[in-house]
Amino acid sequence: MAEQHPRAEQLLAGAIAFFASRAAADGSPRTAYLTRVALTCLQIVERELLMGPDSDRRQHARLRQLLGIEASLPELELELCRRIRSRDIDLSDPQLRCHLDDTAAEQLSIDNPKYSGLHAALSRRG
Amino acid sequence: MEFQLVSAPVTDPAGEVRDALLRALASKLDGLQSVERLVRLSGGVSRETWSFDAVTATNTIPLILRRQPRGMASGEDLDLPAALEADVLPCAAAHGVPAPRVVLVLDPSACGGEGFVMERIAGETLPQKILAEESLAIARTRLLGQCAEALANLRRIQPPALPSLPTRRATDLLDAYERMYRSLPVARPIVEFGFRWLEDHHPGQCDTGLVHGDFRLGNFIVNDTGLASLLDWELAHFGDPMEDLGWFCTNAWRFGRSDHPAGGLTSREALYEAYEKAGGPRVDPGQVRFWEIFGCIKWAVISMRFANRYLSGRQRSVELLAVGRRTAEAEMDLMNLVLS
Repeated sequence: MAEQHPRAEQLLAGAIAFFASRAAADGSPRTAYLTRVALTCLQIVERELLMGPDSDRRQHARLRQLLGIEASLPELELELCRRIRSRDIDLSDPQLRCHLDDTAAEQLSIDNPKYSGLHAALSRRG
Repeated sequence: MEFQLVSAPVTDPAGEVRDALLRALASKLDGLQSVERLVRLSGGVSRETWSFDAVTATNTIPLILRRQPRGMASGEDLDLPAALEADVLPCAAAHGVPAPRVVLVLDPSACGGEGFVMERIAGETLPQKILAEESLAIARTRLLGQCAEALANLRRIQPPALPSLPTRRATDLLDAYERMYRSLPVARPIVEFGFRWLEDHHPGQCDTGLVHGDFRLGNFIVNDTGLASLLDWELAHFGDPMEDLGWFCTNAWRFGRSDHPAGGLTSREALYEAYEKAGGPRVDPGQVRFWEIFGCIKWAVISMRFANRYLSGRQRSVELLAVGRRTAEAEMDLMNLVLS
């Protein structure tokens, strides 16, 4: 199955399509709301373009270390999912937990850096 | 929120709903003349919610239609059929849990799908307003106690009171959400980790009671009396009452007040104390923690499903697309809970 979690170019295309369709419509609270949603998409894209490549590189390095194999980032992510699902990796392994924690924090820095959970994580991690 | 419904040449959803309501309510409401101010309220994928006034010779009656649109397969395994949801409401009300009064259950063959009509209750539903509005300051002081009372009363309702309502315990719910996750073309290591962690940390023997299934701000009507009603009962089931407390404390539902874990209102301890005072059993914080972590996984899966509605082409609304990027919030909440 093709990977379908929203990619940067899909978010951007969705937001642009909205603005395009909105051109002829009257303004309303609903439209204002959807405009804000579309803007949120664009802001995520902006952060992803800025921070994504470094974040991916770090994630890739952690996964190669954790899994002990060489492959592309998507392939390693799938392999990690497989190992967790089948319990081929110990769930209490600190290296696994650190990796997941780092991944969560980095992804959230792109998706919603204002989210309270990120601040809680940064406090916890010190 | 008002919407201008534009009638399309082939289908006129508002007209269809208006006709169905007139037919259905004619025998129920003496002297029914018209259905006015019919407007579809936003939100809800497996349920349509419409607001309208039923005008009779002597009265204008504010009502709500809850409808499962015809031909819309409930891909959401856990959603109740509308007629069963309509049974849950009066049962809850009879046990002291605020729920709207059901006026009529629709005949699906006559009315374009399953649904029911209930009273429309005045009040505020927007979480940010409930938490911040000056005019609701007094209501807010009552809210914790009333939420705790509702939860304690829900727990008193037992399976014989609603024989058709399914029982869903932790295992059943984990299976259901994992199936939903695996049906999506996504692979999230933190979600995988969450499912396995929950499998390893099942609560032991637990109580059975009626579980609302979506007990949180956003599904409350609050007016100056405080908690006037609980809405959106389509996920109701019998199960572990701690599930509702855990969901209520999930970070996603604190609406900016993340330092008040209990629904953005107060501390967990204050919630547990109020719950026990309202007649609930002593709360095991470890058990609520399990359900809070479950809440993170549940919200993660729901957010991925919403995104998939857009990406698969079923519903091209940009808000569905955007919510897919909120999975990272749920994943961070999960890691924060597991690692703390």
